Amino acid sequence: MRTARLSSGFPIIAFTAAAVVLSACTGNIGALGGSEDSPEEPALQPGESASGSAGLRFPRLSGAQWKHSVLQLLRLPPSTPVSLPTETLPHFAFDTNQQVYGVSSPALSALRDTVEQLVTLAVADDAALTSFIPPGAPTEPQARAEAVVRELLFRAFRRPPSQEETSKYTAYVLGAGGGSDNEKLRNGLRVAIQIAVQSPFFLDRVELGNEAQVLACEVGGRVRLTGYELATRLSLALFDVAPDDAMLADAKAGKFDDESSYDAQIELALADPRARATMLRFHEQMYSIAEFAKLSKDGAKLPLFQSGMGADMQEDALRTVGDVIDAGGGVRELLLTRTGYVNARLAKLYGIAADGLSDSQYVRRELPPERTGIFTRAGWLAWSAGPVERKPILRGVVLLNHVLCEKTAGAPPIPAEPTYPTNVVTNRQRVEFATSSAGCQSCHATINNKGFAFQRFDASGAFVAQDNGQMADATGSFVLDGKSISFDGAQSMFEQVAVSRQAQSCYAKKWTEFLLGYPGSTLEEKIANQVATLAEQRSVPVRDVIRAALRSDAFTTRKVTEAKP
Amino acid sequence: MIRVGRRQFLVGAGGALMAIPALEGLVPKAARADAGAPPFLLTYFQPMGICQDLGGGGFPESFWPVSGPGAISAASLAADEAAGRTVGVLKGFASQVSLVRRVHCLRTDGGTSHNSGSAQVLTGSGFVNTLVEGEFNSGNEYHRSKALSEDFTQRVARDIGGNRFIAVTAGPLGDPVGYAINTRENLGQIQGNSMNAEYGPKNLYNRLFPTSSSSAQQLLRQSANDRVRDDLVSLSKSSRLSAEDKKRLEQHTEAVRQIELRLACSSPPETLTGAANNVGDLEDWSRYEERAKLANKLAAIAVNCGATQVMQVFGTSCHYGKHTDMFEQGTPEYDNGAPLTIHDYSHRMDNAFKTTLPRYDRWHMRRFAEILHDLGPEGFNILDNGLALFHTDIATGNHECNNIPFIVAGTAGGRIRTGQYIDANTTNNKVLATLGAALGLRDGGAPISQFGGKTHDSGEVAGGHLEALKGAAFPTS
Repeated sequence: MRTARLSSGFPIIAFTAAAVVLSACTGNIGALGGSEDSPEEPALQPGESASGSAGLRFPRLSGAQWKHSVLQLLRLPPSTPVSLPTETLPHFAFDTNQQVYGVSSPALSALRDTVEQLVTLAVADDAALTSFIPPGAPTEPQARAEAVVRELLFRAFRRPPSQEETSKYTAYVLGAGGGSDNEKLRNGLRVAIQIAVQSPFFLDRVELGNEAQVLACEVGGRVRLTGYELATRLSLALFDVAPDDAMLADAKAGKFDDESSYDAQIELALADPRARATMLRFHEQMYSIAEFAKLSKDGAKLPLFQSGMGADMQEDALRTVGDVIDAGGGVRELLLTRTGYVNARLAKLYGIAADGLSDSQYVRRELPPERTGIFTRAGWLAWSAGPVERKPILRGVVLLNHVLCEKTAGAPPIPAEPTYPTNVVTNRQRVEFATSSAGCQSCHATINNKGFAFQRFDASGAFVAQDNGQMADATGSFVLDGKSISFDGAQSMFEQVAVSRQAQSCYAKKWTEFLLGYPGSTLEEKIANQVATLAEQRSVPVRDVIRAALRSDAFTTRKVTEAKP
Repeated sequence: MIRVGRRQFLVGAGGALMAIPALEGLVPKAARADAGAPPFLLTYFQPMGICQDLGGGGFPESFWPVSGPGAISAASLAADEAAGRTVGVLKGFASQVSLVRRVHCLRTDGGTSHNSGSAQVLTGSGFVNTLVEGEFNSGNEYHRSKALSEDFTQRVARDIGGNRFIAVTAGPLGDPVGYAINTRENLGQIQGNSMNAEYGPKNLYNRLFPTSSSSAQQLLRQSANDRVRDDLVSLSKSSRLSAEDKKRLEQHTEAVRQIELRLACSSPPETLTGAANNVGDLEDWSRYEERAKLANKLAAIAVNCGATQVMQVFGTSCHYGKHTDMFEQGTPEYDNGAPLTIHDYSHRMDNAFKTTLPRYDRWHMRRFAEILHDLGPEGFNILDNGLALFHTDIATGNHECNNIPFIVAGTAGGRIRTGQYIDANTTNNKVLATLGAALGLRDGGAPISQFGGKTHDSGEVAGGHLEALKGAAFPTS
């Protein structure tokens, strides 16, 4: 361990792999405050597939990572159209989740078919071909082919290829037919590329670590990833693409091999606009923002919601998150922000003046007090509701999972709508009645009260006083940081949640899960505790949470689990 | 080994020189691995009996397990192999096979040697002798034993929806002669009409993949797949793998095989094209084994891809000739130096050949084991969905039509019990009825309890099942 400083200047205990650089392995996980018995690999979450794997040494690139990496390898524009089959995410899983991206034959075939189309574009003519020829490459055909292959495999496999690999792929290139030398090289390169990108060394994020260190380390210890592996992990985590030429050059120069150099790489990466895009993507998934655009409501009963407003709400949420990130805010600000982006119709829904606004422009505005935090924005509220009715159970579950990291059991089959007594009128009363049995209450006692905090927001996201003709009841209480809190409405709830250790810790866990690709590790808990402790003093910026995760052993090392020969 | 290099380079249509995948990895397994896949039947025919002791001072015992009947295991079959027993070759499949001895054809006398057996063994009925005009045997009128009813493979193909019936003949010659014609016709009897066999891997290949076409893209896909497998093998050799990693690699490897399956099934494996075209003239005895292996592999592909649900493999064409590869110590010769034919070899009763006959049996058992491997384990195990049946035409070189060996592989969905050595001592119509019921054959709305059963004098023997072969899921209604 070491004492480091985050960019904001506050001291923070960062987990580092300094010891790993000097010796075979970090040794004791428990020394970092965890239990020796704590499984580092996560338990599956309710509703998740048991067939998946976590903490793999060969996690497959996600569909997006693969697409971005192939285009980069082929030196094609990122905007090149690529169509890949959708891979369904489990509920509440990030798109980086290792369990999602399997190696089934349909998935592999789809990737192969895509490459077949792209590779033709990549080496379409001599000009394109030139981009694959390293500067100073020999002109003699065999030597040139070998140089081209070595460079190609270096970029594809994110490490120097072995001589055996180079020889094999060179044979593919040299075996190509064609008239001119360039035509032969082009044909050969087409073959070599198609084979290379189907290799597990391209398709997977291979993280074996240094062999000598692994062998010298006892089972249960941790070894640092190699510089190339760490560069790949960092690039995929923050840029959603394999390391580019510059980063690979840095890895080759050893700039991922020691702590201070790696810290510098983190700073470089965080300053890259692609990292900001990833931060937005994280929150987009956390708050289901991408789904806002598809929203539709019963216009007759919810007249403030007009067709197409989902896109407005999406814009509002994304810009708001972006503002928080750019201003150096963190989860506290996300849960408390009162500024938003509105156009004319969204302003109307928010109940603020729409003077001078149009529907085509978004303007930053201060929102009313009830709009405290990202979860009180119209988009999330409309998303967590049906065409007409609020969905307090869904709202409560999301809060539990995304904000408080409290686990709930998997959703049971939805029972038939009960026949309500005549005195059960409001949406809240109905939910309470339907979940009143002892069996239901084992979970819903925890879920419902959090969802009821939003009862003054209808299914369009509008702030309303009533719930089915009666005064809306948004009161509730629950235990937070070991103490009971009470609230009346979302604003008072978030004012307490935003400063809680639990919310800070949960936010850090979510980031760690996102960056690592699997949830629930012991080290994730440590990072979360670290961030939460710091948050007791001040708000922790999003970038600092990311730094903590990227510097942690969870990110820079891997656990030794293999049997020793 | 089939003499196709690990990498064979062909010039594809696009002018690029590309590697094609290894033959060894080309047998697709997974199409039928899914639960609920339609059943299949593959039969393997070893002509001319086996070397087994039937008492009376005939052949020595070198085929069946030393101990038993009873349960068999990999260990027990390994011990049998060490003791020189042919079934030991199947040690890797012990849990997937039942060894069934003493299966008797209905008629055991009055026949014409091999024909008597081939006319009965898969029909479950007796035979009649037919005078063949113009053919004479040592100056005598020549008769052939003809089947009385439909062959089992034909009935299965007809009833369970086989889309194409294919007989694989790994045989050395283009046309069988002598009694071999009758054997082939009897094995494959279709309601009185014999079927056409395919001679040689090339013909079989063309029949399996009649619309095949070569393309550079196909070659490249296969080549890339092969390379991916190399990389997976390379990764799997790393000392830095956990059990979870290995499992993931296995999943990836399986996916690669599934892709191979589709490549092989949707478009024929180019490697096999090359191999099929390159296994020498059918008269080239020196490459007989190579052709046999290739044809068997094609048979497995046909089943695995679902090209057919029924496949009949003739281990040889029962023909005369030298089978050099079969004999581990070279081609036997007559005392005068003339080479023995395989037929001669199998029937020689002198002590020298009694001791070398087991080699012939083992050669065939190895071929059967290779087919089981290609159909079989490694996590795919399509044998769970169907049956593979090893049989001969006669019991030994003495032409007996009783004591025929049956080896049943697979459970047909748990309907057949495996992992045992059974002393059946029953007629083959009952054994075939058992296998037929397991494969879904029905008569009168119920699982069949009789297959064939017709006698040469227009009678019928009783049907029934071989109880010991019934698995837990054997159909009762």
